[in-house]
Amino acid sequence: MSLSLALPYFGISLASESEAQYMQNALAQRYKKSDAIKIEMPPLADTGNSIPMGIQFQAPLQRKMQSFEIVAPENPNPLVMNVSLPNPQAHYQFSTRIRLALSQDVWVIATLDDGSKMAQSMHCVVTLNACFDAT
Amino acid sequence: MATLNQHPIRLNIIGTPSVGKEVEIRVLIAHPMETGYRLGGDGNERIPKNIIESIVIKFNQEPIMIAKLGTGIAANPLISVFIEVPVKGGMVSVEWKDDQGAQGRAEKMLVVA
Repeated sequence: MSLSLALPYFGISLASESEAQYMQNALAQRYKKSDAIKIEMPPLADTGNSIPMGIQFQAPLQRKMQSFEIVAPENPNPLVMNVSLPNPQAHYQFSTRIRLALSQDVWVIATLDDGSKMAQSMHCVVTLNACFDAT
Repeated sequence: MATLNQHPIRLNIIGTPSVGKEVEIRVLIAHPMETGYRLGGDGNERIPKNIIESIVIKFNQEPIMIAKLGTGIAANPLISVFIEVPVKGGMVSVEWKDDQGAQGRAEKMLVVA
């Protein structure tokens, strides 16, 4: 289950800087980046409250995508979203709006129907943070 | 007119639904998605967490996408997915549920042109 990666993250109430860095490194070590996933996101966002994010996925030959998750390692709750598809798809297009607490690499980790995983990340600079403001 | 519906939901099918092509299904739910980290007006108490936990998109009562959301999704969540148009068309429906027990649903007919 793809949640196995993300579940330990829920135990951390607020990701400290070193923990977040550790998570970024762990993700970078564990997953090889793949061109099969394309992330569309503005490289610079004025506010982290609402950042449009699009994902395009093209599975390798004879493979289909079963589920994917969006991970923002430097957010208080790093698992942004987990999407599972009861009917696995070879080609998939998805978009939503996310919150980012800090400038960071946002990861998309997809699970294929044979259990293997593919990942891609994109850096997004946030000039005003979400989650912590009092307004 | 005032309405009692606290969380209006909008479900749109975008594109020409002809067989072999893809249409976009766009879901917009009016929901604050409170993270639980923000402080209230007096600056002492945190506003309680209130987020949508799951959104399920169904086609003819069969789930085609199950999304589990966290605090990292922006307020008024918008989700858009592309599906291939089935030969006969059918009913697209969306159900959501938040952590305080509120839930909602919407449905729309997908008629093949």
